[in-house]
Amino acid sequence: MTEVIDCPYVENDDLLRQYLAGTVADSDAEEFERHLFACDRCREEVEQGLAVRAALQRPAHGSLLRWRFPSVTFAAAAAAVILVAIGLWQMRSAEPTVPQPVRGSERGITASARLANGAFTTIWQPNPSARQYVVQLFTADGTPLQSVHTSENKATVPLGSIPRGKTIYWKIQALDENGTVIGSSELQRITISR
Amino acid sequence: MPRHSTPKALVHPLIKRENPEILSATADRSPDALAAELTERFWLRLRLFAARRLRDRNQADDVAQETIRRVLEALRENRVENLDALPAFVFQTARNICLHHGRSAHRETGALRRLKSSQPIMSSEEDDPLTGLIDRSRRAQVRDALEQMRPDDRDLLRLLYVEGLETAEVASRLGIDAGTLRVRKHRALLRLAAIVGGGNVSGRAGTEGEA
Ligand SMILES: [Zn+2]
Repeated sequence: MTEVIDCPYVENDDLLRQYLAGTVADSDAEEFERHLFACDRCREEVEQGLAVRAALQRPAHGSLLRWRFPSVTFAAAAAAVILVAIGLWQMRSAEPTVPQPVRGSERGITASARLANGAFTTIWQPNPSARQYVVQLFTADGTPLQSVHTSENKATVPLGSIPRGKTIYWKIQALDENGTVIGSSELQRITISR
Repeated sequence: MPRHSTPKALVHPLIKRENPEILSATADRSPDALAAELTERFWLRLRLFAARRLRDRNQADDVAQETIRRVLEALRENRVENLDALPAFVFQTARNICLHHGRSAHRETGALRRLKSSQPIMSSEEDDPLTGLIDRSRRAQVRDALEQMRPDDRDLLRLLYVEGLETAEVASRLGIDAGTLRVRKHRALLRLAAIVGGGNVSGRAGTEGEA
């Protein structure tokens, strides 16, 4: 089925590709999306361009463990945390030469934590294959508070201005030399006493 | 959305005449068939739309599903007054859901649930929420197909879609004019689609996510 509509992006297809690359201003992106919902020609090219892009794209080396706080929305910030916290093995798995961990083969990490002197302190059972660990703290809605990377099996994270009485969630992940998540603790909660 | 109570008898011929490809619709189609048609037509669009805003593939899927559900409901209740404007209606519905999604407590518990389940949400490219919609097997399939293509076609597609260069820049690098470039791009995409098969290189509705 082909929707015959006047398509301004036949001649000017730069915008379509900028849209795929995420380099177009929000207002232009939205205008394009409004068009995309009605235009089958653009849908087809977007579909193909996206697949080519995904197929040939390299993982974003060097920034794998960086927290991101996109300014877009609160939801975006939460999503970015999840992306960074959980998507690590998948990042690597986009690279065909990297061994891909089987989901479910991640080993659990037993960890405990306490709050003292305005800091969150945690210690966990080391994973022999781990090169480093990431300690992540979140609010109850998934917003990132802090993250710390360490090669030790313990860490102290200052809580800064987190109000008393707040519940925070925390999680430890073990990473191998490729940055792949090879072990993870349960997501646990702890409440800052009043 | 104002509620519109046109009798079904008046709506169906309209649907059949103006949107034969999608809405031949509630009378002679089962709700499942209608849902399938809507999904076929809008699934990728909805996921792109939501992924760009929410930067989360699972949430994008949630938004796409919820949008389809609401649009179906609106169609069944004859609340879509002008079926020519169905794409705009779907767009607006998705937009409302995304706006709400950003605020809702449901989303917040969803975020936590996902943290707990350790499911990978998005693919590698943290700055690239859209390509995160394409799963690994599809990437591999398209990569294989690209390798079977002529190097000049492959390079052209890479310059355009991966490097994201502007038409003028690519044309100047290749020493051709913009019109020729467009023709070559079109042909390269056709060849790619032919190798991948079925003319659809990014997966059909519902098969794009990780298993
Ligand atoms: Zn178009």
